[in-house]
Amino acid sequence: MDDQEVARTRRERDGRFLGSLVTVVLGLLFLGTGIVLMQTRSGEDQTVDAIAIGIGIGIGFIVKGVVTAWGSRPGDRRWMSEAPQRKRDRLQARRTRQLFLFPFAALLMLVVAFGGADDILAGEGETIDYVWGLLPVLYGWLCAAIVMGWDGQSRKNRRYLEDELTVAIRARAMTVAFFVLMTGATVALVLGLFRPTVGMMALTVALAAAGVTAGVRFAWLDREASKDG
Amino acid sequence: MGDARLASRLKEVRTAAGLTQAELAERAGVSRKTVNTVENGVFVPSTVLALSLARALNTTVEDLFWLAD
Repeated sequence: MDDQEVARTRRERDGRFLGSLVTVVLGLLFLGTGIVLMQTRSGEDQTVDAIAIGIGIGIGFIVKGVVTAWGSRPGDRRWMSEAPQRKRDRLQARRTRQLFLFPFAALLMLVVAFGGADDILAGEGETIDYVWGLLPVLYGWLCAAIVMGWDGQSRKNRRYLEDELTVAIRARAMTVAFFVLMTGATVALVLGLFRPTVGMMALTVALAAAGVTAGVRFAWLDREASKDG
Repeated sequence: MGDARLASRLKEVRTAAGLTQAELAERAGVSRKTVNTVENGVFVPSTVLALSLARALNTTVEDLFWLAD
């Protein structure tokens, strides 16, 4: 690492550490609000569900924040002596982990999105229903963006994350994802011809499924490539 | 990604040179996974990668790869 790269990495780590602290605080706010509401409110299932989701998000934020904060803690100096080869392996392993985790998040969001789907289709959806409805598709986009190397992390560490094998694996993953997208969109169209509302929900599934497929296939091929023999 | 027509002697040459996959990868400026997949015949390297591997091992591309009949 030259001096310029050391300074840049230090700035990034400091920013990441502060960001992770903010994430923990946000998580505590979600969790605290959820617990307070859980104790003070009772009644409609929807309210209870929303509070439970709030608590879940809070715990998720706290875990993510603590893990990131530990990884970028100010006293840790090991990264300064990290060899390029080690950094390449570490960053690629992190990408693979993300591509195994985000699809699960997308599927979870899909389940939640279907909870408010009836209200949306009946034209009685609230803002939160629309937000939940879009989240699985956004996670699908996120998976596809990571596979394509369009996300911030990939762009910043292109020299470590982009190599010939990555390009080959990406091509195979996106080929399968394209097939899923075409099939899903066709099914959504056919369903939409008979029942437009069902077709629209099927489109949400198709888009999320295509992104998730790209992510999982990429992560799977990447893991296979790591195996010896 | 692989091609049955491509034969490789990469693993033999690498071990003869006393290098691990990670060390060869570092010399060639690629990931260890790339070296691993080329050795296993899972991935066909491009001309540039083949030349990089050959240079890292002080040999020629023809000595590392050839067409299997």
